[in-house]
Amino acid sequence: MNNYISVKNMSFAYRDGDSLFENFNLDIKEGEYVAIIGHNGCGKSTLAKILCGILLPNSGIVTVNGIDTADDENFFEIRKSCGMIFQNPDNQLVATVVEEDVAFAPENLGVEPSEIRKIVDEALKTVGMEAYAKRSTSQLSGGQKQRVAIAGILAMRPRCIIFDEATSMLDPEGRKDIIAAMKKLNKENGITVITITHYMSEAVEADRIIVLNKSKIIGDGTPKDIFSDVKMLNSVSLASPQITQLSEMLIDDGFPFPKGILHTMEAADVIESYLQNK
Amino acid sequence: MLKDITLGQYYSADSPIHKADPRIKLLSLIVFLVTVLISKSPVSYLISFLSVVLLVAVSRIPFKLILKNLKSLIFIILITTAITLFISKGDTLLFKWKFIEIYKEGILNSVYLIIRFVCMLCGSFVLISYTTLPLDLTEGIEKLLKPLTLFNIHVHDFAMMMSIALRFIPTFIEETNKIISAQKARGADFDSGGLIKRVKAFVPILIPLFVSAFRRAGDLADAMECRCYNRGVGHTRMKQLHLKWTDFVVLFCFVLVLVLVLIFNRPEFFFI
Amino acid sequence: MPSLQLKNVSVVYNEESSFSKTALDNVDIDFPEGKIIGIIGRTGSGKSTLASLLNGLMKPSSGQILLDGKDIWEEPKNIKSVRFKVGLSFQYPEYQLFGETVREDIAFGPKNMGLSIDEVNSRVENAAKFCGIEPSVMNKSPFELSGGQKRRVAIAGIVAMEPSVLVLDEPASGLDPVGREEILGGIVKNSAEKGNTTIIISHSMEDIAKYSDYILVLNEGKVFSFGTVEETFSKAERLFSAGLDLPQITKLFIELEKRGICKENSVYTIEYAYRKLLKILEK
Repeated sequence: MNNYISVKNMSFAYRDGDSLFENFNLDIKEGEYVAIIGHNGCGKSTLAKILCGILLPNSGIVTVNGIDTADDENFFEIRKSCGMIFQNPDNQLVATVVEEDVAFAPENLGVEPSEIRKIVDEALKTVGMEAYAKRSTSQLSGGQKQRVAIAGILAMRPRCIIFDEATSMLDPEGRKDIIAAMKKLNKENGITVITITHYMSEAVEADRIIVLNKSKIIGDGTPKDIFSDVKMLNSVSLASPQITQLSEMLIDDGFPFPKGILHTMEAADVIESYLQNK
Repeated sequence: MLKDITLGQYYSADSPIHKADPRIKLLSLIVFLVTVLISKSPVSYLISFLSVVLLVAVSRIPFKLILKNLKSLIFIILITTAITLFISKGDTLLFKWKFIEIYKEGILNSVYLIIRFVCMLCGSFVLISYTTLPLDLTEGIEKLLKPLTLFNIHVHDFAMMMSIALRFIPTFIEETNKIISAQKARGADFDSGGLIKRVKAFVPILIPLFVSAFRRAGDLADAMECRCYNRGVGHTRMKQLHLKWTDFVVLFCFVLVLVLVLIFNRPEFFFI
Repeated sequence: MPSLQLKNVSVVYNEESSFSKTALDNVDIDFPEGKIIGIIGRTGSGKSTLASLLNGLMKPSSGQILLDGKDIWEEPKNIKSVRFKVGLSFQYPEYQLFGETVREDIAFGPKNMGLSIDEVNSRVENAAKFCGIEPSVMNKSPFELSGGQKRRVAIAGIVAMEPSVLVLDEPASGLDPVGREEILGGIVKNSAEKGNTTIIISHSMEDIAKYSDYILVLNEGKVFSFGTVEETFSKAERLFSAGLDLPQITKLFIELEKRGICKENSVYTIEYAYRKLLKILEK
């Protein structure tokens, strides 16, 4: 598969600060579901903005779908290819009515009114918010607001969506809804999903995890690889899911369990078959 | 504390006024305000007043609701009326006590003033606040002011600002309430002390509110950029405004009232 | 030791209108003195309403809140003094920061109490130390700090009032694992040293299980269960019906019980689960 987003020798510094990224390289393939984890202040959110072109690198090249993000002439093309969902659900809705908000991007792009109608209905249906089309945005719960925000991005028909800590201000139910939405977008609609998070329960769902520490990639692999490397995670004060920690402790004691058990059912199966074969 | 402010007083009902195009409603309101302001003769005032009553009836908004809203403004109306009553001079002195003199003209002027107030307020309530959704209103204003773009004025920016402000009012009311509670929990006192002390007491509310407003504005700018916002260049709208023949009927009615008032403003109708 | 009790407390919003909503329904709790009590429940279960009640920011529709045996609303004029005794930190407390310096911001509460300057200063220093705020930060503007630091400054602002009961609404929400540990661990230490009753409201069953002594589960405005962490987890399966998300470890043992492998109640820490599993596997 092709690289959808590609970062080559990128360096970046905020105007008043020390350099944040130096010679940073990252490739994300089309259709991948990637979680980027790390501490607050490790450069996750800055990276998200660089990936979708809101921030431009000082040197190096960032391309989205083959287009250089620094290319002014293709401004709309980049925005349309790669959308972004932000942390605070209150700060990214523009309109007072749900469907008007979802229509914002296609309206800016000058799409025909009848076509916008179709796009909006479709986008709201994808996130399961069609029943709320005429509601006021201020009366929705946090999770619902985030789903409307996703619909607003889907209305541009992007091939990639970046979630920048999009679940961190939500309650557990809202978080579950958004994680389910990410999965659906990736598996059913084939959209490349990049989620930046410090919730391991969210990262477990991805196909690939990138661990960021002090603006450097210190781990890149499947959830099984990353979470079974308890030492590496502990060195940056991140913790694997409880089940993984428990099974790794038992593996260290010599039990013949496979590495990188992530889910409860998986662990129960392994324990059951071990006891049966004994 | 701030919960009592009712925003977007939109009253949902099925009426020709609700259905009318926001541009027509804005124009009608201007015509009507002019009508009320140029009314001079008693007959003209009566016409203005009756047309407002008719307007309320047609819009299917309960009179009770209108009265409730007028009640909150009654203080201002009464004071201005009283001032007019006492300072108006004329030919026919009706009452004199010490320095207070009341003339027939004074009484007439205050009655006219009340009618003006009521007509203008009710007209705006019915044509705009109660029957027009905020977004339709901004859309209407943007379309009406379109000619100004010829003079290099960014009408779209103005309309966008208005709709964002409307969008964020509930958010900020909620936020203000939260901050007030949080500072109260730290023993802040907003209800006692002299004026200066009270003003100072609001610093712990205003600073966090400003900080949050700037943070939100930054976030919103990023989010809008991500959604291809380009100051309205080449943009379309999902909901198109279409002028219908009924819209012109509404506007025609208001123009008709204006013409009637002009006719009845002639000197022969000043019989009082 | 401070005592805090709720007696048949109900809160109904918009009582007169047809949109009335019962936020708390006949809640009757005696908070154990000097312990850490975790309150958990779904959104809308009445957790935040309860927090506002304890601190006197809101009056119950019926029932009483007793602080040291006295109804806090007995003399409504003295409600401010209740707020000094029961400190309340709201969700995202960093959004209330306003001082020019960290020091000034933390001092806001103690100053409102009318303490002497010396007393205010010593309380500010103590609170800062407790919340892990370095001296070098004290003269900085709170707006220059990182998210986790801001959160600690905001909580220090409440701790500096030296309340005998500390109520924290979602103190760790939105923070990364390190930030969570710093805040919650600090609170536990503070409570243990001062013998304060501490009430932590949270969405995270893992955090609550890890840091508190007692758990109060609210569901639709009612007390669903109240007891020690062990007691609460011994009925773990029941908690699902209150819509709570249980820690993975607890879920594993429920599953093992279903499969007839073992019967082990109240498992909520990894160490405990590890010891139990070793026994089962080596049998």
